[in-house]
Amino acid sequence: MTDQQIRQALHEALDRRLSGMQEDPFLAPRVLAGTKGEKPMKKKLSLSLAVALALILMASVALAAGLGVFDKLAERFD
Amino acid sequence: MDCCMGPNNPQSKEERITALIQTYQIPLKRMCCVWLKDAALAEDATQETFLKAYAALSDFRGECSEKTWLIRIAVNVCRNLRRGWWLAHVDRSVEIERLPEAVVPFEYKDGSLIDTVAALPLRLREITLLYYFQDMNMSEISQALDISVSTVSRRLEKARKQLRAQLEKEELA
Repeated sequence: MTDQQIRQALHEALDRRLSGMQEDPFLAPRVLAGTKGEKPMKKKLSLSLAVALALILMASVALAAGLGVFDKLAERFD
Repeated sequence: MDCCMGPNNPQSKEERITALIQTYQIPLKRMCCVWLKDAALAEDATQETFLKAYAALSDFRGECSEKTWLIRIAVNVCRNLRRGWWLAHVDRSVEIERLPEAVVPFEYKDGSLIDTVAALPLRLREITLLYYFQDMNMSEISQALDISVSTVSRRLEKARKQLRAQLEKEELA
């Protein structure tokens, strides 16, 4: 099998299988906005932000439990 | 043929980056997808590549083609993203079902060939994508990856063996 055949096979496979990755019409405006100092919007929640939010949530629950908030709530509902 | 580079280009930086985005966004995004094994991360990598390209646009002197220049930026962006904790510690073997839905019919062998490329060690995967998918020659790859031509040649030979074996297996099946 020649290099040319491998190249053709890989091109066809990537172009067909990744055909769902189309042109994003908003990419140019996002990039231009980013170059003008506006922070370009990322599509995903970054891992560090997700971890930070989870830690804040856990700390809040632990604090609430420590202060007996859940006991008070349970008494109120009883 | 470069679409918008060159020192005497009368276009504004905004027009030049827009032309680059129109010309290269799809091949870059597809390359980053296999490189990073993550479609959403590939979108971010593509955007980051063009942001960095815009910032460096005035420094481009045309020592290489605009494609080689852009790919060099994309390579660094992908490498930086891979240095992140998550990608460095988590096995992200590409799952074909998690790739974006194809809009044209594809065959089973397309998926297994992409799996083969994605399963290559990173050093061989980058060479494979640049040589076979971006149609770059060894000298351009050596510039883009900042390694010697003989290293490119050695890695390409290893990658070629694995790809050839996979393709021949598919032919026999």
